[in-house]
Amino acid sequence: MSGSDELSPVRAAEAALETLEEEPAALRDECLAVLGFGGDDPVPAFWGGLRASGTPVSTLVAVSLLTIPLFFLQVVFLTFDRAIASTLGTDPLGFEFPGLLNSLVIPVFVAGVAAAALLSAWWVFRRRGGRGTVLAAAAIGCAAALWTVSLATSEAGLLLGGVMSGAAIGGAVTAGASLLMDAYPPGVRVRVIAVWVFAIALGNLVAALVVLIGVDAWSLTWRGVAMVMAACATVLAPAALLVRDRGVGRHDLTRIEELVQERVGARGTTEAELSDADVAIGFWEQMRQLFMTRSAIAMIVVFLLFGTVAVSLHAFIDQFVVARYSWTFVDRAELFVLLAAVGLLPLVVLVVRGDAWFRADPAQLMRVATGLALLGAVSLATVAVVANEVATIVGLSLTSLSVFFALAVAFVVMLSVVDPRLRPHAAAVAIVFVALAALVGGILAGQFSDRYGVTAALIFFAVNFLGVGTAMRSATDAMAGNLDDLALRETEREELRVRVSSGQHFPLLGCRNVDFSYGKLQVLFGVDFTVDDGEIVALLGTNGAGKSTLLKVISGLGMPSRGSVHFRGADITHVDPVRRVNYGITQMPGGHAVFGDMSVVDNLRMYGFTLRRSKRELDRGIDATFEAFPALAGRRNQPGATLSGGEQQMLSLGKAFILQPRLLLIDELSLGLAPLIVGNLIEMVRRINASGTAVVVVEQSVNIALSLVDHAYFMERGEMRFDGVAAELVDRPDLLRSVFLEGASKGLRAMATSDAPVPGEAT
Amino acid sequence: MTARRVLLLLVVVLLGLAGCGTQGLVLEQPTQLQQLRPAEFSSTAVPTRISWTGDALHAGERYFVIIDQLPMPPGSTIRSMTDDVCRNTPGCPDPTYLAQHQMYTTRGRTVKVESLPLGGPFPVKDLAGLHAATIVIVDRAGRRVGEEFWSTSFYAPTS
Repeated sequence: MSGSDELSPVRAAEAALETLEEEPAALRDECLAVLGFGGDDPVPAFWGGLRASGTPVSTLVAVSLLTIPLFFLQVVFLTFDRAIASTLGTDPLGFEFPGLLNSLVIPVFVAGVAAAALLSAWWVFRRRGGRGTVLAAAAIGCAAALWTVSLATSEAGLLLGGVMSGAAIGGAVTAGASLLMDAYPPGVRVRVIAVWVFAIALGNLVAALVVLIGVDAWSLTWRGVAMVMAACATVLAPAALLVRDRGVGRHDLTRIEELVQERVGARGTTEAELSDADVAIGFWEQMRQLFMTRSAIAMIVVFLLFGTVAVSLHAFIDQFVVARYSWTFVDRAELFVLLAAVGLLPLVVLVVRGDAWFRADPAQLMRVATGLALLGAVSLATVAVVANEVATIVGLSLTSLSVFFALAVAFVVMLSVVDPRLRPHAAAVAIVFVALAALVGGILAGQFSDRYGVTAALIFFAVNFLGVGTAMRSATDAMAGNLDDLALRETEREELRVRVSSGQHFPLLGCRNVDFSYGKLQVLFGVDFTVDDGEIVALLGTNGAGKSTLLKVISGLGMPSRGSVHFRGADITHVDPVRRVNYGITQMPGGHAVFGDMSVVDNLRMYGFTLRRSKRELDRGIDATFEAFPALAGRRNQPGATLSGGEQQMLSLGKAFILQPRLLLIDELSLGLAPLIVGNLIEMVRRINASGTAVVVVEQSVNIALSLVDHAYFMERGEMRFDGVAAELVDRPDLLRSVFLEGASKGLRAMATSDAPVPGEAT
Repeated sequence: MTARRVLLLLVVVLLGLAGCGTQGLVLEQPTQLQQLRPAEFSSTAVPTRISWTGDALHAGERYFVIIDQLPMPPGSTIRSMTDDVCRNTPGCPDPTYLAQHQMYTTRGRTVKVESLPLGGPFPVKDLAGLHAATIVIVDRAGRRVGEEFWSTSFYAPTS
């Protein structure tokens, strides 16, 4: 990169941003420690850490107690499917042997999970907390579902129970997991989540014991068993009153704020030109941000594969031991008690050692989970092929070792790598994918089982376990990059507030370290780009250099996978494009970007639609456009498609008169146009700029760009190769040669020395 | 939450609760019948006998034995288990029709099953030869009484 002192205001602004970038880089390690990664602080004792958090220990106890009965109803359905069908009799919903897996209850249950998870995340987003209420509703729903099913006399009762149970699970997991991550500090979080997953596993064991004791010792029917479980859920439900929610991302965000304030020695008391409220992103924007996080995507794959295994495996193990060993109901119930008990063991280790491992190296914890998942895969495959009862019990026990451990690690990682504000979203997405995968996995395994035998279904599950291991490995690889980005963005955001408060000048637009990919194809690599108020800059480069993509990132049509975009002092990285138009960013797309079937005047009205301008304002903008481009005035009622290329560009430029943006992004102004037309357009761009609008012109034609601007950027293969005085670019044949004809470079040199721009000559 | 949503939720809950009840629910396994034969997961030949000990009948009641099908809901009649042709035919279902469809009524403690359905009720390939016999009680009109049932599963070659 090169630069110049001639652009002192811009340079000053860039320098401010560079400082901003350097400071967070220095803070990054400390920020990562705040988020629970690395750092020299010793891991606190569990109870000491909980008590020091400021959140009562009773919150962890309450959330865990509420979790215990969450999956009771699934155990009832999976264990007593045939008995329920024989009791209720009729078969209009597809109740056939072996039963409910084929019925409507499971899809209804999954729909309940998905709806409640998303609604809960939305509720928490709106309230910036309120998870105690969600958990209370879930506790009531869980108990009500069990009572409803235990009293069901037809499918309607089962369906209502199914949907309520699904909703309880969706709400409780979304609220519970995110609340625990937010409520307690990083030093104890792995153990906190391990306790929570332990409660799920304990619920599994309690359910298995109630089935075994209820049927074998107390001679209960499925109704009796469901009632015992319902009574347990009812007794535990009041625990919801003990839950305290102090806000989403509370601990992390407060600590990062304190960290930056300590470092900079000031507080971010005033807000930028665009306030935090202005740029606060909405629920679905946050959801999109979540899906932009690579390691979160990898974890979602983990949850998907986990869902295919964890929920349906019980039913197929049941079929397997009947088919191979003809085990009775009680034999099978004893087996499930054993498997549930074994599943608790690795969680005990995690409850003791989890945070120490995680702090030392999060990847280490992932590797243990990966290893256990692979062990589960091998064990399950062995069970499928070795016809021996002892081998089956040992193999299934080894498989059980991995299930809940993988679940705990997946939740810890998922909720640690995302922006703390997105934890409810992340938890919701996790449980939705688990539920969807359970449905699809059950159907697929059922197909394998029906066609090739239950052994094939177990092999299918073993392959999924293998997938869990592989996906965890992939998430481990992505985690470091995501964490760096998270730490950098959080500290940068806070530091920006502090510096804005201190009155420091910042450029109108600042893109920092931007990466962007189309699918797996990365096209932008750590791009920095700055535009100051009222400035006009050129963005140059060949086809495929990433210029138009960078404009998309600025206007919000493309979301960066890494880095940040700041506008008017606020972080708008994940804000929707429509809202960016409101902030004052307008893009004039490349090519002939007009609505061909609409008349010229309707095209102009359409531009105003985005901002809901009043008719009077709109008419004023239209008049200004026609005044600037008289050629359009005579064709005001003509369809846009009938205009020449130059006239279409004029019409597109009309956007600037209608929207009066603070920043106008022009993509390929001159493409395919005659020099005379280009000259007119350039003149008009100058006028727009003179009225106070900052302009970014993307051009392949160096001489056109340099005739218009003083400040130029040059991109090559997705990287910014030049940032400086436009005329200096002429002295960089290394850049120009790689892109343009050498002759053009020579011509430009002559042009620069003669100070006589030659607009319109495409190179 | 808008009033319309609350109303919708209420309707769904009421519809669901309409599928619940508190009368005649069986919470403990019925023990009147014991020693169902063939024993669970045992192998047998066709024709085979389904038998049991004990007695669960009141006056006018009969046992209704069905192979590889779900019984009718409590309160429904045997006719609900038949096809449209039978339902529109006077005198149907008779014992011959029922036997052809692997359904039997008896006041005794055994029924002879002459043939078994192809494949059995379990879609799983490994369980293709596994059949299920379910016994419920019906009244004089062929209406299922209570929700008690007894069942056994056994392996048998299909006929």
